Amino acid sequence: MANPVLFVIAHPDLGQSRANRHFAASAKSIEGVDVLDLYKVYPDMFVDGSHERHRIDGKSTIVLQFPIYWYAAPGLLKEWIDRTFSYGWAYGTNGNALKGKNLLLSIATGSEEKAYGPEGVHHHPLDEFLLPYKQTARFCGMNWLDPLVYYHARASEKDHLIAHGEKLKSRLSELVHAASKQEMSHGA
Amino acid sequence: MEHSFLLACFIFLSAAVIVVPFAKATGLGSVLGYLLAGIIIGPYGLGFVTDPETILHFSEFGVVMMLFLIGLELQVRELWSMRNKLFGLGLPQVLITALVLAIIGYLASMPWQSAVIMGLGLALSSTAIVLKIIEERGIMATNTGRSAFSVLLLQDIAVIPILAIIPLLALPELAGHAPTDDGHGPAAATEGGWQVAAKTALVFASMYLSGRYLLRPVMRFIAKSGVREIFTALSLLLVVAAALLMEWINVSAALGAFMVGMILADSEYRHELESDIEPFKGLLLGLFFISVGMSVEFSVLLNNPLLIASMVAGLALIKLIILWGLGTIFRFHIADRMLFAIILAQGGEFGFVLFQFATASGALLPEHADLLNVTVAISMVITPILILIYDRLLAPKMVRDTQTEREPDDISVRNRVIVLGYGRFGQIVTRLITAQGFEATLIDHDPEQIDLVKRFDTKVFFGDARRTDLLAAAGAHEAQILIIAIHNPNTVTEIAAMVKKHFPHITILARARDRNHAHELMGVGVTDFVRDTFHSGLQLGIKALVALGYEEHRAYRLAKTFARHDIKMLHEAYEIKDDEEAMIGHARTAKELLAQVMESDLVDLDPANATNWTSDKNPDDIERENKARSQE
Ligand SMILES: Cc1cc2nc3c(=O)[nH]c(=O)nc-3n(C[C@H](O)[C@H](O)[C@H](O)COP(=O)(O)O)c2cc1C
Repeated sequence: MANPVLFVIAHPDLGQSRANRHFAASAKSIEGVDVLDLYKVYPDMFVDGSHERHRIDGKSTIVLQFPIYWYAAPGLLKEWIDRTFSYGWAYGTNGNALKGKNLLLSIATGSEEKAYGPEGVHHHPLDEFLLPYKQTARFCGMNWLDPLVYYHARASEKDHLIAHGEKLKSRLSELVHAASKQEMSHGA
Repeated sequence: MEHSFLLACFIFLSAAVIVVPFAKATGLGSVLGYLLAGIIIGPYGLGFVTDPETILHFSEFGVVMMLFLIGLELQVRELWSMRNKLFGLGLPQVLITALVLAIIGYLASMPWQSAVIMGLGLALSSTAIVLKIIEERGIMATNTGRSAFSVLLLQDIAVIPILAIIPLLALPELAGHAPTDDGHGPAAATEGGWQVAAKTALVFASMYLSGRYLLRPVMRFIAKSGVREIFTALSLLLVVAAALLMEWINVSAALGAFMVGMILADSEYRHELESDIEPFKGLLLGLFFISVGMSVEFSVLLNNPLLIASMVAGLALIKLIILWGLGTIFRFHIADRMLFAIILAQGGEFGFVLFQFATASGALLPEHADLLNVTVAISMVITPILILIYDRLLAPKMVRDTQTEREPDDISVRNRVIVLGYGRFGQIVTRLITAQGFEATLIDHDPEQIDLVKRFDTKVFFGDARRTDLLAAAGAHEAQILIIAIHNPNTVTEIAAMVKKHFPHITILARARDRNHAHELMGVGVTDFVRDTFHSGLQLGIKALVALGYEEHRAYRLAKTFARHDIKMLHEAYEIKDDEEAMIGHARTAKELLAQVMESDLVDLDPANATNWTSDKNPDDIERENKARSQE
C-alpha cells in the first residue's frame, strides 16, 4: 500500500536551515510518510504539474512544511500549488481529486509569537496570514487541520526544537494511523 | 569561326547589358528589354545577327531549364492539389480557344485541317514569358500565379497529343510531302502505338527509378568530392539528359525536364541543384527572348500589315475573353482575373514548334506558317506592354488589399525557420522548435550526416550554406529566423555577415565557439548567439557541485549567477577587445567580481541573516540601532 501522507518541504537552502531541516528529518523517520523536498526536485523551479498530481493520488494527507518568508511560503511552494492544483483536478468540473484529503501546515517563523500579537511588529496573528492556504483547502474540499507553528525558529532552545519535532512526529503518526484505519473499514 | 563566335557572344551580351537594365529601370520589365534588344540587333534592326533560328533553337534550352527548376519546387502532392485548376482552367482554355480560332480560320477559307492546327498552336501561351513575369512580380504563391502556372502546365502536356495528331491532319494536296524525321518526328506514324507506349513507359519508369535510387548515391559521391563545379556539371547533365530522353520519345523536352525536376523535388540536393542551374537558366532565357525579338519577320509584317495587326489583336482579344470567362467561373477577384487573362493572352514558343512541324508534315501551307509565326512573335512582344498598361492604368483603379486575397490551400507555405548545419548542435535546436509545429528547412554540407539522419525520417538538404543563391533557393527571402549551427567558427561568421548583407530582415541565431568567436559575431552585428559548450559545461558544473555536497537548488543558482556574470563580462570585454592590456586587467577584475557576485546571491536568502525577523523589535527601532552602531 502506498504511503498515505505526503510531506512537502519547501526551503530554498536546507543546508543552512535549523528548524525546517530538523522537521524534515523528523518526518522522514515516520513510516507511511513520503517526503518531497521541493527545491531538490525542482532546482530550476519548473514544476511538473502532472507528475505532482500523480504523486498526490492515493494520499490522504498533504503536509506543507515551510519557513515563513514575507508572510507567505517560499516561492516554489506557491508555484507547486499553482501548477499542481489544476482545473478539472483540484477544482471546477470533475475537479474533486483533493476532496476529503487533509491539509496540514507546519510552519517555522523567525519572529517570536508575541510579534504576531496586536502589539507586535507584524500586527496580525499568524492565522490571518495563513488565510489563503485555509481557503485553498476549503475551495478544493479538503479538511483544514490546525497548523503546527514553530515560532522564533532560529533562536529557540535546542530542547524546545526537539520537543516540537516529537510533536510533529506524533501528529504524522496519527494521520498515517487514521488513514490505514479508514482503509480497513473501507475494505471491510 | 572562333572569332565569329566570340563576336556573336559580344553582341548578345552587350545588347543584354545595355538594353535590359534600361528597360527594367524605366519600368518596362526585363522580358520586354530582352525582346527589344533582339529586335535592335536582329536582321531588321542593326543586322548584327542574321540567323536567329539557330540561336532560338539553342536558347530554347533556357525554357527547359526553367521548367526543370519549377519541377524542383513542386512536389507531387502539390501538383495533385492543383488538379482542379489543371483540368478546370487549363483544359477548357486550350479546347475552347482552339475551337474558336479554328472556326475563324475555317471561315477565313483556310483548309479545316490547317485551321485546327492554327487553333491548337495559338491556344498555347508562352511558358517562358509568363513564368518570367510571374517570377519577376513574385506572384508564384498567389492565386493568379498558381492559376496561370496550371494553365501553362496543361498546355505543355497538351503539346504531346497535339504533335501526335498533326500528321493525321496532312492536307490531301500536300500529301506525298511525307514528313522527314527532323527531331520532332511523328513517331506514331512509323512505329506501332504499343511500341510508343512501351518506350514511353520505359523512359518514365527508368527516369523515376534512377531519380529515386541511382542519382542519390551519385550525387552524394560527387558532393563528397568537394569539387563544386562538378556538381554544377552534374546538374546540367541531368537536365540535358532528361531533354534528350524526352526527345527520343517525342515528348517536349521542357515537359520532360519538368518531370525530372519533380522527381528530384524531395531530394536533399534540391536547393543545391536549384542554385546551380539558376544562372544558366537566367542567361539562356534571356538569349531566348532576344532570339524571339530577332525572329520577328518584319518583311511578312510589312507585306500584310493590316492582316497581321488584326490577327494579333484578334488573338489577344479572344484569349483575353476566354481567360476572363474562366476566371469568372473560378471566382477570381476582378484584379486577379484581369492579370490572369493578360498574362496568358499571347502565343508561345511551342506555337513555333507546332507550325514548323505541321508545315513539314504537309498540314500547313508555308505562307500560313509565316503569318502565324509573326503573329505569335508580336503577341509575345505585346504581352509585357499590356502588363505595363495594366499596372499603370487598370490596376490602380481596382483598389484592394492584395495580402488578404491569398488562398491558404493553394500556397506552398515556405518555412519560417532555416537551420544551417544539422549536426549534434543543430539537431537539438531543431527538435525543440519543430516540436512546436514549426517547419524548418535544414541544410548541411556533409552527405554522410544527411544519410544518417535520413534513417530517422529527417529531411536535410545538401548544400554549401555560404552561397547566397543557395540560401535564396532555400527560402531565405521568406524566412523569419536563420539558425547557424555549423561547427566551424569561420564559416559561421562568414555566413552571418553575408546574411546580414543580403537578407537583412532575418533574425540570425548563431552558434559561437568561444569568447573570441562570440566577439567576432558581435562584430558582424549578431546579438543572439550561444557558445556551444557553455551551457553543457555549466550543467556538468551543477552536477559537480551537487556531488560535492551542495543542495541542487543552490548549485543551480550558483551556475545561473555564474552564467549571468560571465555573459556580462563577455559584453564588457567586447568594448576593449583590441586593447590587450585592458583585456588582461579586465579578466583579473572579472574573476574577483565573480566571487563577490556569487557570494551576494547566497546572502539574499540566507536565513542566518534574517536577524530582523528573529528579533521582536520594531523594524524602525532596529534601523535606528543600526545607524547608531555604525556611527560609533
Ligand atoms: C526572505 C526572508 C523572509 C522572511 N520573512 C519572515 C516573515 O515574514 N515573518 C517571520 O516571522 N520570519 C520571516 N523570516 C524568517 C524565517 O521565517 C526564519 O529564518 C525561518 O523560519 C527559520 O527556519 P530555518 O532555520 O529552517 O531556515 C524570513 C526570512 C527570510 C530569509
